[in-house]
Amino acid sequence: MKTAKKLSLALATAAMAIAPAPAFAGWKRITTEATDVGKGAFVVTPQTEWSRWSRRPAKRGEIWTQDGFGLNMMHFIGQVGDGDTLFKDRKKKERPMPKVRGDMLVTDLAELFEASFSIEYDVTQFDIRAMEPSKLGSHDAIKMTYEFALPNDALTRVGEARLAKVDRQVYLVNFIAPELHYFDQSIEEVHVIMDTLQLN
Amino acid sequence: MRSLLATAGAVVALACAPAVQAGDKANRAEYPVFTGAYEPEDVDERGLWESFDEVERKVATSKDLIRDEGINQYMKDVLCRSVGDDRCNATRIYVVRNNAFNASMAPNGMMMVNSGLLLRMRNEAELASVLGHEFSHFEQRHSLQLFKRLRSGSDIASIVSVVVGVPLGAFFLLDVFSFNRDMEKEADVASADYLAASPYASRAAADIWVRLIDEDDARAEERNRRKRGRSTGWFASHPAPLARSEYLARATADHADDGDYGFERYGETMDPYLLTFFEDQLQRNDFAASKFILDQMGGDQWRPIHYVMQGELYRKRGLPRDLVTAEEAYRTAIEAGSTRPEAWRGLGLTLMRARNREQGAEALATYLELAPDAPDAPMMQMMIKGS
Ligand SMILES: [Zn+2]
Repeated sequence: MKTAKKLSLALATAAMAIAPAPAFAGWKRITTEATDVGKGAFVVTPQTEWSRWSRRPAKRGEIWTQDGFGLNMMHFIGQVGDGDTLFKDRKKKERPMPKVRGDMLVTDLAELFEASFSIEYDVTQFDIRAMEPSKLGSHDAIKMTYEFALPNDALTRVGEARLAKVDRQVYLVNFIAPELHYFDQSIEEVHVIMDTLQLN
Repeated sequence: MRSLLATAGAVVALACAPAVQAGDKANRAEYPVFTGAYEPEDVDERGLWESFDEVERKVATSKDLIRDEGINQYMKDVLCRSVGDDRCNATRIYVVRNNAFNASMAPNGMMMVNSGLLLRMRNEAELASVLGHEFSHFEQRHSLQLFKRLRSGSDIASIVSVVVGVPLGAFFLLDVFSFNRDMEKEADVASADYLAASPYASRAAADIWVRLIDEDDARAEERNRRKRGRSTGWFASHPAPLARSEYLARATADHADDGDYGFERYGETMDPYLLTFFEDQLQRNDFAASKFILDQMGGDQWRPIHYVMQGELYRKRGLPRDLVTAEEAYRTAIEAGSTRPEAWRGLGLTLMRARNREQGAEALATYLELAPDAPDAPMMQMMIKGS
């Protein structure tokens, strides 16, 4: 009945194969040193090398990967203030992004992420596996683990997101990967990154 | 929060057991003669069938497929009641969790129905008319006709290779075979004929398309964009929904029957799924259209689940005045006997956001009593302690 125009992860993977960089999108090597991320919203020290995509998901955001977006993908989005959106609001009339509001509870942040992420990647199914208190850097945060589906995709993809609100600004770090093999391959390092990064 | 889908199947299996008594409406028409499912005739057609079989295998393993036996059996039952037993056995129905209003039909007999369509049907007769519409694309071999128009062998070969090669399979593929305007009208008229011969009320078909326009109008107004449902350009290949409603109304007026709407059966079957399907819709940050869908669904017979959904709708938008509406909705659901833990969860979070922390903590504690193993239990414990 309708044409589905989708920026799906699967297509993104096909179009943005990790190496070598196609003309329209650049990749930058992230080494194991302390790195300014999201125009200074975070300072992150990874344990292994990652690649950063030149296109930002948010004004103060970055996306990293190790093996390509379809296999592992980490979002850093920081300093999102009252009235702003988590991901860039690129298509306001067709798929508007929900906005951060000053009175949001920490659990509302989780729902904000769920909706924003689903709109950004055209997720058809998002189910929470666990939601618990946690830390992002040294700050109180909400941690959610979830599974999700893309249209007509057989893979079970899983994710872990942590969100914190510090001085009325929202910070998100999110990691997604297929459950089979790829999630476990990186999650330990992802936890270390989430535990040790610094929020500015 | 959508953890309850897994348990929904068991409930449905019980709910949809009794079948409609056939032959209980006046003026029931005869089904047209069914000549049987079409078999591919030459090598090209066989290639086409095989490529759709390949797509069907992908659909059958896709993560967003709803596999509960109850709802799948129900869909099959409704199709059989709509088009008759000899016809319905020629197809396989796949219910996909996707909030968009969509259904599709492939030439090999694979029918796909989105959860977003089920969310928008008000009764079983409406669902029967949509399933009948999709079936008639199959019976009238519409995709085969389109395929034949591609004529040259190289076109055919490239289509077949595209069909099989695309990771997102069906969606892309069904766009390739989008049915044209005449075919849509033909399918609409055929589905009206099926309905006339079925136990269902023929009148049920006409309303669906008007509602689709009204839903998009509501969305357009909220997003401050032009309304498009009344123009012919929407759904490029399809008749404008308004024209569609008009000729369907005419076609069904000819069958002035008094058939069944299956209102209660539809409600009983869908109740366990509605909240999940509605949460998928709410994720789209699509408040006005979501409200429209809920209002249409509830009509003048709101059930407790509808109030829970209303609470979620307003709580998730979260303007100060929304919190008042949400609180009232959850309380109404609870007073009306809702046993869904989500009602207490929503009430608790609404109260907390409205700075009524003490009562909010109480409601969340009730939520945890009802759903001690909920995936968000540790977080809710923290919310209660923090108050
Ligand atoms: Zn059609």
